[in-house]
Amino acid sequence: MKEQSDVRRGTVALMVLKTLDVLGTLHGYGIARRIEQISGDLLAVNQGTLYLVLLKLEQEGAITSKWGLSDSNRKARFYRLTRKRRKRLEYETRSWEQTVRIMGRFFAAKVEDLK
Amino acid sequence: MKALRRLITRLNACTFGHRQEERLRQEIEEHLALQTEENVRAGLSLAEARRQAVLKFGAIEAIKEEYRDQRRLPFLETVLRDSRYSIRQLRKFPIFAVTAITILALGIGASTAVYSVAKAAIFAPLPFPSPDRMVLVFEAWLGERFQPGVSNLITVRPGVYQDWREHSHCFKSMAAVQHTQATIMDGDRASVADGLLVDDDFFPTLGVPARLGRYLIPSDYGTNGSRAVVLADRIWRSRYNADRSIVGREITLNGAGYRVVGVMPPGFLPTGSGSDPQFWLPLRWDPATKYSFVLWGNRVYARLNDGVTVAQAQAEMDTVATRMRAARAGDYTFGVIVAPLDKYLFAQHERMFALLLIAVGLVLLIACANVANLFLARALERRREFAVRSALGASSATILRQVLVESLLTALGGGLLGAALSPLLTRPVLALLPAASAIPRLDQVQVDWRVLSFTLIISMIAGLLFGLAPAIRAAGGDVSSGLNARGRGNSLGRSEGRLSDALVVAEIALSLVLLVGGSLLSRAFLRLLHTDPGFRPTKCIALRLAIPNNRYGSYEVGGKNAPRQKLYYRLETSAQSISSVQVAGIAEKLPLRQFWNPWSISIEGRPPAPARDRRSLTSKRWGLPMQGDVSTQPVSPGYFAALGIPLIRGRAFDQHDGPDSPVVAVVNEAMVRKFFANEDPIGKRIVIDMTSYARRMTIVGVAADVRMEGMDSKPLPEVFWPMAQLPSANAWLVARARGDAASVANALDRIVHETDPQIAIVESSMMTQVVGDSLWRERLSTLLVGLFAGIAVLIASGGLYAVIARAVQRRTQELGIRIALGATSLQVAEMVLGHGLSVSATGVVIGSLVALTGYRLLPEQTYQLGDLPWVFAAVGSLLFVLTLIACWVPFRRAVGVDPATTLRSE
Repeated sequence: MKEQSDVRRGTVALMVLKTLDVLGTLHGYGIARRIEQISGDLLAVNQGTLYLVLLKLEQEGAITSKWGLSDSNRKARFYRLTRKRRKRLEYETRSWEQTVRIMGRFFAAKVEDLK
Repeated sequence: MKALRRLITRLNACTFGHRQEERLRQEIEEHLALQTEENVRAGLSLAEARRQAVLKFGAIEAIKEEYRDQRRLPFLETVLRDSRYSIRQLRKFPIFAVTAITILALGIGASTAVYSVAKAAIFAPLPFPSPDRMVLVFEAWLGERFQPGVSNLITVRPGVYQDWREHSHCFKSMAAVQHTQATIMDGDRASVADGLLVDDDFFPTLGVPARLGRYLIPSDYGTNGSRAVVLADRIWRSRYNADRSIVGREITLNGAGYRVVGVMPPGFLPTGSGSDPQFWLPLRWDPATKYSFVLWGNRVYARLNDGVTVAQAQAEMDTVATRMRAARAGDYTFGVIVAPLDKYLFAQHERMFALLLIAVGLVLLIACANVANLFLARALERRREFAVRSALGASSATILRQVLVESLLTALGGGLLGAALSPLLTRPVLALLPAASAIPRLDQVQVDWRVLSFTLIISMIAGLLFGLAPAIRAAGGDVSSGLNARGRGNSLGRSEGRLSDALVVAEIALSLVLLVGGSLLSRAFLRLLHTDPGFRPTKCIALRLAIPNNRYGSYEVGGKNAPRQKLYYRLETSAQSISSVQVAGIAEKLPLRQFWNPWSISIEGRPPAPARDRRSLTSKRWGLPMQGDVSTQPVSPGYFAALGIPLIRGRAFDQHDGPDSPVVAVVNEAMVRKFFANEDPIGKRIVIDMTSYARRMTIVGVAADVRMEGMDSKPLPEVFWPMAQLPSANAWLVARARGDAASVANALDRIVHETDPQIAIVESSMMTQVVGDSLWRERLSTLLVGLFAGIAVLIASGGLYAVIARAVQRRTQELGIRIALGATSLQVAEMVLGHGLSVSATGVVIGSLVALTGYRLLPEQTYQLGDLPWVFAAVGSLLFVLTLIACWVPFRRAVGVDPATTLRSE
């Protein structure tokens, strides 16, 4: 059970980083919306866990945050990717794509073998 | 790195307030507001939009909690919170806290004290590289093997050492050392320091660099080289005030100048002889004696080659010795012993320290059992509290952790106090260890981080030991019965009662074991103390003199030495002339201070002894048939009278037994029993093979036996001859006073000084003191185990009292009803005493079973099986009496229960 959620949280973390990479500075709700739009309803179940991921990333030094004003002129916490992390993200994206490709091929092969 | 970074941030977060939580709250609020707006735009009513937003967000409180846990270190915070809570709890009940901490401090303090001595003496590794590769190589009688504490080792002859160097391959290097003494003058007062003459392989073999300057190097050994000396740390501090500029300066030893080239670090090379070397001088082999086979006196250190075990080295040396015996018959009748250096130094003391550590460990266990009972009682008093807390949602793990933290904190308090108390015990223990004990490195006993971590570890173990059972009880309590319990602790469940009874049973059993051990040891000690040593120690004093060789010549081959003969004669007559001295004498050896150092004896007109005695060989050197071994020493005419050794037959020596008259001998009864069982020894002629000389002597008297090796040793067969005929290198001046022995000490000191200021008095001891010191091992174990047993019994009786008192308190109502129904005091006594006696009897039975299997841990010579029934009877009745005393107060209280009051309080 724990492992499963770790894997998912790991993928969410990568999504957060990619989102911030593309869109620059964004508050929690914005990140949630963006991920929701792209990933369908992966995050729809439990948006709150996003904040745990944000905290972990911040503790690791991958992102920074500060208070700012949202579009509707409300106080909100804005997150930004750190420069150091931006460089690593590229590499991580590639390696993730590779992993997905390998896993995909692996599963595909397995299904064909069974037939 | 990531993990470390997170840890640091989280540690920080633990210390910084609650701003972060506020931040999360605001973020969530913002998130929900935005989502609600969005939902409203999608056409939902405001209320529904908000509801959907919250639903989508998930369980807010759970998220918050997880956020908190993730942000900080929840475990650390809990422990801190528990600690604060525990300290508050302990402060609320100071008597409980002080009692528990004091009892623990006794156990932990005593353990720390014993450990700190044991650590310095035997546990700490020797201060040089790979100490386990170092061995000592000795000569030995054929077939002898290394046994710690057994004096079967013979120092090595130079010729043998040279042979070993040449023919052995198992050693990386070998080095020879000889003991030496130096007289050092302070104005006109002489003092003496022990030192070592070491060959040029010595320091490289040990591999310890000097702490100041350098050690001896080959150029110091040249015949025209300057006289170099290396000082030990101790003398550098005591005599030269730790002056760093000492290197290069000249100091005077034995009237000659030596240049200090270095100072060795503290603790370098204990010798295991009780007097560690204070200086090192180059050992220059005299070409005439370098290959000598008649001079003993070298100790040989060796470092094993890589991969060679002690057993392999022993095997190789055995073959070397066998070859040498074949090649050099006559010179080479001995075998070899390879002794690991650390075992040689420490193993003989291991048993005593093991005994003391076990004893002190038992005290600690008893203390733990006692404190466990205290905690158990308190857990019961706090049942309501625990029940309320678990009703409010505390999990049983939380309560378990809480109680454990409390006991660990108590243990820590006990540990701190114990560590502070331990020097109070260490100092008297050290005072009980005379130099004669030969326990190495006692000057290095100190409380260092190793000792403190030992204390910390045993405190934590103790905390777990006594905390676990009460904690489990507390955590497992039933909520409803806990909440229903009226008032405090008046409902002690049957199983709690059994548990605390069991703890007291354990305390009593362990105390009994200690009492039995202490009693056996003290019986043995008293028996030895009252053993007849063969001389009368009262009113007798002995001074050990250091006679400088540069003034009186070294011990000559042939045994004659006119300057020494004259000196001893003068010393004896001037001591006799002191009015308060009844009689004085000079001897080579002092009773109780010797080791069996056998010499072969030939009795005129007898064939060699049968071959089964492997030590009885025909002396090739002198061509004599040998009959066996004796211990020998020269003594002056006053010796027997001064020590109070009765003369059984014949005569003692007198002034007529001079250097030029025929050599005479006095033998002891053990010698007569061994060699003249059915004959009159008087007038018999004997020759003793002293290797370098052999003189024929005529027996003129028989003296009573004296215990030379110790109070528990058998008298050795001994031969004495007159100091005036063949004097010794060592000298003890022994005097019997008319009054108190201490009163003549100064006068004797003065006459030695007047005779020659350069003669140092190495030691001045009352013979009663010598007897006491020889029993140091027995005295120390008796006193310490006795002390520990005393502490144990006190703690256990206290524990018994507490349990009985609590049982009476718990049954107050029952007692009230019984008394109201007409129970007599006798019946009440039956209840209270019956409980106490059954607990203590169970303890006695279990303890006796343990003691009956465990007494063999004591050294064999200590206990006599005949003592056991007496000891058990005495210990059993002592515990019986203590049980009655412990039960008395609770019994009085039980009898005093007023039925009216108790029933009304219902």
